[in-house]
Amino acid sequence: MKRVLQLSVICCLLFNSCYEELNFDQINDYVYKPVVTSSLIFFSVVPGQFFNDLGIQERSITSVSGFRVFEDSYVKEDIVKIDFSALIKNDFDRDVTIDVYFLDDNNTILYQFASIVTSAGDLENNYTEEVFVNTSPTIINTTKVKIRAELEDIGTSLNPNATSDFELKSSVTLYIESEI
Amino acid sequence: MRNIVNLILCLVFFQISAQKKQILYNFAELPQTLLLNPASELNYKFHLGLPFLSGVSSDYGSKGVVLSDIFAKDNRSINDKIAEAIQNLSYRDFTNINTQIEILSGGFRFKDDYYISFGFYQELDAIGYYPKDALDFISEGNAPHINRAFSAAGIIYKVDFLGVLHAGISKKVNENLTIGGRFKIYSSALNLESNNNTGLFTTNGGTNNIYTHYLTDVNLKFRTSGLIENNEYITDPSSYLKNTFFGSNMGIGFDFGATYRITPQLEFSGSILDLGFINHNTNTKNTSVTGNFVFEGVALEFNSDDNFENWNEIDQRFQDEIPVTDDFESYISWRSTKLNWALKYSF
Repeated sequence: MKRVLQLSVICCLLFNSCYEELNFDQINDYVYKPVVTSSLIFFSVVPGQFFNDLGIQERSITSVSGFRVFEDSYVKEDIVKIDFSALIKNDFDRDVTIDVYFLDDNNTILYQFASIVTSAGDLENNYTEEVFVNTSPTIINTTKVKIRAELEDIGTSLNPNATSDFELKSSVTLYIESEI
Repeated sequence: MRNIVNLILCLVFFQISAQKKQILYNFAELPQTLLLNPASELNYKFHLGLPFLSGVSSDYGSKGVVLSDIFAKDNRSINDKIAEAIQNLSYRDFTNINTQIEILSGGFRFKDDYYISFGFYQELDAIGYYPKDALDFISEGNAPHINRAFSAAGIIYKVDFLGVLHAGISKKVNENLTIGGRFKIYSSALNLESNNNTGLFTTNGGTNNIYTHYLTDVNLKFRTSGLIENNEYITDPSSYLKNTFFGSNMGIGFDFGATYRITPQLEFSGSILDLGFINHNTNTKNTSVTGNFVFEGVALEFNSDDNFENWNEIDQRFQDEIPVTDDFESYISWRSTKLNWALKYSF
């Protein structure tokens, strides 16, 4: 009898298994937080582009473009923060001010950056704007972006034949927080 | 002392609640072992299974991450646990599930040395590798991984739901050797599979803009059979069950096995199962995505109305350079072949 009991205990130890207590409800607390970055718009302008058909220099030039970052419903619903980054090179002989406006389909301004002034000869101006969606919730309705480049008035015109340029490169970083 | 031992035994036995089919390998007392090795040595004259009851098995497995890594009650944040689990995954880690229900099974001894068995069972067999790069991208995005190439090669999965009609024979060649084989006719109700995918997504520092994004050497293929009919998903469960019995997507396969008694105590056995294929020719849909694409943002022009077109041009260029194509051609899927072997020493 003693051997049977010993054998039984050995068998139990050998063939027994155990498990850890699990709680599947934890999945309801899971929030995944991808941070996605993408190139946005870029341009390069030379002095000649500030002159109209009559050969007169304009103080500013403007561009309006479509903006499709928020077209995706997943991004639109779950985005919490947006970083706009710009790398600006000003090879002109005067300051250049960049204004950026975010517009909806009706051209209503939903958000705008503070004016970005890049000094003459500044070849590496890094600019970042953080936008928290909970404080600027309408920005996610943006469908267009308007950019205006304005030259500093120093009393003289640009040389329309000069090869110096003004460049802007940009990216957007989206901070997403989403539940399963 | 005896009472304590009895108590321990009771507690231990009450914990036992399930076993997986693989445990039945070399379990000569149960005829289901023939489905794991057609050369198993049986000592009875016949057997007959009860429909739907005699053989029900299910097992789930995971390599690289287990349920307790994620769902253990340990007061740790589940975000941290999932991040850690993804971090620890490798490209060889996978999860699988296999479920079999015997509808019919029987067998009988023939001329003492032969045992003939037959039956029909339904099987759900699925395996999927964890696509680590895709999980990293979904959970973290590309911002923390500038210059990293996210690969699509980790997208590998195969799901089969099918009926299997089979007949097998085992022969005792001599006192030491038993060999066996089984012929199977497969009737697939559902097949989903994707493998041999390529493609890299990389975000690098750019020249014209801050970043340049590359989709390189993209070649993804997704094949389905039994899931879509006339471009609509089949949602009626009964049509899946019906197709497990001589449906339109049929195949054949074989099991082979051998048991060799090296000494009276020492025995070697091995089997290879589901060496076969299924030809899918009904309700198939194959999707492929191929190409290369480079994106560096939208080039803005001043005093121009073309800027809205730029986005459309990028959309169109993406569709042209990474086209998604569907076809409804037939294809062959190989069964997930399993290999078993064992060395047994009897005291």
